[in-house]
Formats: sequence, C-alpha cells, structure tokens
Amino acid sequence: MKSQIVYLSNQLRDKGLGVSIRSTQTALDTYELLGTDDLALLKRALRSVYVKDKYDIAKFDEIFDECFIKKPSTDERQVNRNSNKRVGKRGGKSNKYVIKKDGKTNKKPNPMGAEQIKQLSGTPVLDEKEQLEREGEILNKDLTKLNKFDPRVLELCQQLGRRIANKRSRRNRLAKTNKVDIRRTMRKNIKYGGVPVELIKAKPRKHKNEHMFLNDISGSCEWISSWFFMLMYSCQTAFKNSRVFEFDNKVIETTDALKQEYLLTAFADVRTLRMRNAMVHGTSNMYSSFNQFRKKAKLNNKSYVIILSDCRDWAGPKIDGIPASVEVMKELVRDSKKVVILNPEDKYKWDVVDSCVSLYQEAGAQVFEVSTLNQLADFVVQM
Amino acid sequence: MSNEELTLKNIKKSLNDIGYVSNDEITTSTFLALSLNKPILIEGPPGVGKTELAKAIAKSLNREFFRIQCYEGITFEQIVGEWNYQKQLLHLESAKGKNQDETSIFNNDYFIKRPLLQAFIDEKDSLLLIDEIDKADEEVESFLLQALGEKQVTVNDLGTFDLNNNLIVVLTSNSQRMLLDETKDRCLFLYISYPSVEREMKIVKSKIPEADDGLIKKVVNLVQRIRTLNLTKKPSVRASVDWVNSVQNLGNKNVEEALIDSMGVAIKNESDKKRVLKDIFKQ
Repeated sequence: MKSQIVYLSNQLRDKGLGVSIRSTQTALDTYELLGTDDLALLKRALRSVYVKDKYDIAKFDEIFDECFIKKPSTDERQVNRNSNKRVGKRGGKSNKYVIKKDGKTNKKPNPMGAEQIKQLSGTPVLDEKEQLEREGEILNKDLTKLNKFDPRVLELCQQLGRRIANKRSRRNRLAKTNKVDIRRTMRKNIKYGGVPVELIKAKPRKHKNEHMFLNDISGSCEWISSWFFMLMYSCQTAFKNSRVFEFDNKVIETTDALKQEYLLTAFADVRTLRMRNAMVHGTSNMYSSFNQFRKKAKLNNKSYVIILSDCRDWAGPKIDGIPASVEVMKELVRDSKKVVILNPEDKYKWDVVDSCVSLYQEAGAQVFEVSTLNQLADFVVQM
Repeated sequence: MSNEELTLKNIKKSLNDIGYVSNDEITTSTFLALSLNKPILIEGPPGVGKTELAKAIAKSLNREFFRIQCYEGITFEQIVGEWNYQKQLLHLESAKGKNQDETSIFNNDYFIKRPLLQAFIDEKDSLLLIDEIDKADEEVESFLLQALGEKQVTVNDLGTFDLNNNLIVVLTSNSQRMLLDETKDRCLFLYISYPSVEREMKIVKSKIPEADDGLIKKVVNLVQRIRTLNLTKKPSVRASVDWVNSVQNLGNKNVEEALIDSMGVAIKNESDKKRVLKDIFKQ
C-alpha cells in the first residue's frame, strides 16, 4: 500500500506537480481511511490531497488511472478485447500493471475552436484542462515566446488588468485616508498632557499626473505590445489621464481604441490602425518615432513616459556610431517627469549588438526588465 | 456529528438538510477535512458557494463559527488581536505614584482578542472561515502558516496559544493572486466550479422552494448559456437565485419580458448587458 502511494507521488512529481512529503503522508492516511473498494471515491479524495491547482486536475486523473486502474496489455487485448478489469488491493504493488501511454506526453494539443475559447473564460471542463497550461506557467512564461494569438493569454491579460485596477484603486483610497498628520496630532493632544489619544489624519493631496504609454510594435516586440495593450485596456480605469501610442518607424495614437466597449473590438481597431499606417512587421527607427511622439504627446512636468521596447534602434540614424535617438531621449527625459523603459529582453542581451540600453540609461531613462506577464503586471501596479 | 457518525452519506445528508446542495467532490473533501483534521482550501469563481459551504459545515456540525474577512492591508492585529491601548494608558495614569509593576499591562485583560485567537481558545469545537485569503498580503498568509500547520498562535509579549478544541479551518480564494506553496501544501484542495444544470436547479429550488419548476429551469438554462459568453463578470449561482426571485416578484405575465427587465440582478456590467441582449435575447 505504502509503495503504491509513494509510486503515485513520484509519478505526479515527474509530471510537474509539486508533491511534498506532507502530501504523501496525508495521502497514506487517506488511503488507510478509505481503502480501495471504491476507486472513484479514492480518486476524488487523493485529488483533493495532491492537486493544488485547478489545471492539475486532468494530469492527476490521468496518472491516478495509470497507477490504480489496470489497463489490458496488447496480448490480453487480443484474448479478450472487451475486458476492462480493475486492479484490486494488490494490483498497484507491481509495476507491471502500469502501462505508460507512449507518445501521449509529446502529443501536441489540438488548436482550440471558437466554442473552447468561449469556455475558457469560464471554468474549463475536465477534458479541456488537459490541453491547458497552468495559469501560473503562462504568467511566468518568457514574454518573447507569447508570440501568437492565444485566448488563454487574452483571458489572463484581462484578469491581470482587473486586478491591477483593483489594487491601484485600493492603494489610492488608502493613501488618501490613512496618513497621520503628526503636527496636527501633537497640537490636538496637548490637552491630554502630550499623550497621543486622538489621531488626526492628513488631508489627501491631489495628483494630476498623466501617463503616456509608447509601445514598440516592430517585429521583435509586436506581440508583447499587443498583450500590454490588452492589459492596459482592462486596467484603464485605474489611470485618470493616460494616452497610448505605438511605434516602429512612425508613431500612431491608439488611445481611442481603449474606449471601445469590448476588448476584442479594441484589439481589432488597433490592428486596423497598424495596417492603415503600413506598420506591420516594420523595423524600428527610434529617432524619427521619438521625435514624432514628442510633438504629439506635448509632455510636461507631470507626464510619466512608459516605453515598452527592446531598445534596438535598427533603422535609426547614427552620429559617430551613437544612435541619434539618444539625443531625443535626453529631450524626452528633460520634458517629462520620468521616462521608464520596460525591456522584455533578458538582461544578458542588453547592450549586445544594436541594443542601446546603457545609452538610454545615461540619457536619464530608467530601464527595467519585464520578461514575464507577472513582471509586467507588477510594474503597472507599482507605477 | 460524532466520529462514528462521520460518513460520506451522513455528511451529504446533513449538508442537504440545512439547504446546501453538495456534490461528490464537495462531500469527499469535507469528509477528509473532518477525518484527517486538515484545513481545506476552496477555490472557484465568485458566487459558487465557497463561503456558504463553510457556514453549512459549521451549522450542520453545530460548531462555533468564526470568520476572518481578508482584504488588502489586513493586519495581524485584525486577525489575532491587539493591545487595548486606551485601557493600558488609563491603567498607567491611575498607577502613577503607586509602586506598581508596569509589565502587568501586558496580560490577557489588556488584549482584545480577534477571530483567529478566539477560535483557538474557544472550549467548544469551532470552525474558522478565512474568507478570500488571496486578497490578504503574503505577510498575513505566512503568519497563518503556524496556525494551519502546527495548530498554534504566537502573540508577542503574551505567549503561544495552543489549540483548545477540534477546530476546522476553511480558506476560500478567488485566485486573485497565487497563494504560497506552503499554504497550499498544508491544506486539502477543493475546486468548486459553476454547477451543472441539474445541481444549479436543485440549489435554486432549495433557496426558493415556492418557485415554479419551469421558471427555475428557464433561468438556469439561460444563465448557463450566458456563462459561455466572454463576459467581464459571469453570473454566479447567487445571481440565478436572485433572478428567479426577481422574475417571481415582478409578476409579469410575460416571463421573457420579466427576465429582460430584471437582468440587472445577474448581469453587473453595461457592456455585458448589451452583449447578452444581443446574443441571448436577440435584441
């Protein structure tokens, strides 16, 4: 019995489920409590012990079936094609009952249909879960690899955006109400002999900041910018004054698309805008696009400029080997309150070949690595 | 319910008796939580009965019910307790000039106990619901590890409190953020998704016994269809109950009209409303 549970734990670990010794111990207790008379019950019980994420349910079910339910071997199948015996109490002790599904793990998931996309926004039914990556896996996946339309990412961007909006509004509310005005508190409590019995809260300060988002949509950053746009769509209520621009070798403003009723319509609008301006798989010219952006955005000392780009100025002019866009960056920094660059590339790729991260940093911009959706969302929360 | 009476069948029946329509998954996880005395973490979309399950377990087992409603910024003081500052201050003022030990203000009399500590020191068996744990900060979650794993709570200057009763801890989460692996590891996991048509009909019927079966079926089928749309906020089971209730109270002869008029109880967003009108009601 012990070996069967330990074997199950190991199999689950092999498939990527985090199974601790505590879980194995609990599983053993469960096994002792329930026995194997009712395998469906045991499966449900062990599922609640081992599984810690809804997207692991299908994986668990599959491995449980392999470990506890006997499947006929090829020979047996020839003798009795209709037999589908279950293993009794002794069954799982021997590995001979475990038949691995060859090639099953390497099988590519089928492309999702429209119905499935609809289902994804709700609770996935069990057989669908098999095809899905765990939410955590997608959120921590390299952004540069999210380079095709995936409804799961769309859904996650929406969720993240809503969370960001919630967090930011809570934080703002808290900031407005929870600060103690020390000076006024001391004055008020003089009557108590200096003992601070009554606390006086500070009055909230009004902020009139505006956020300018400038997304790189040249070949290497196109999809990342799209996901970022979707994130911004879902959390736009958290930013009072914000404008969104996109650039490759020219700049377009996509703020109006944010005001669309549905995310997909907004996304389609942005795509149309890009097509109309011949901005598909373009090469980036940061000199001309930053210049255009400066003229369009009309920056002031309350503007925060957030640029999502890999800082690779492919087509921009160079003066003495230094990209001319560095000078424009200096002007952007001078005109605005802060310029922040979110770079989806790994840090070890910065300043390699035509990447001009350090030059932009020297110009006064702050550069952060955002290689996953989680990092991107964290940044927007902190912004 | 004593240990001998603790069977799957009894749990299902007692939950049913107090109006909670269970399914096999829920019954099994509840049975395990009670048998192995382990905390249970319930995840699922809003309005599918996570909190209700905790209440139902407490009621069916006749246990004291304690609840911690988590939110961003909730602190140790709001969960475990805090020193009664004003009382301590008064004590010190009154003790001025007298030769009294100042450490006396750090005892039980000056400590206001909050739900976690109350649930721990209660003599009667209790159930502690930690609702929406995902909304609390990670620091709070880490603090709870001791309570969940070792059944102890430590308060600075006051000492460590051991569990005094057979406490069941139920945590709920809407997956707004990933919980710590340590928390998940200490808990049994139960995912409650939107119910099947049959179960949802039973739930609505148990909440509104006087409602017409035809109306319940119509509303539940409608809600299930709406859930397949890509909406900002999907209607919950609670919404189904409210919708049936609203249609009944409107008393219109035309059910279709009443459904549209009272759509606001289930659809909570203007853009969602437009989409439902277009895709479901074909307007």
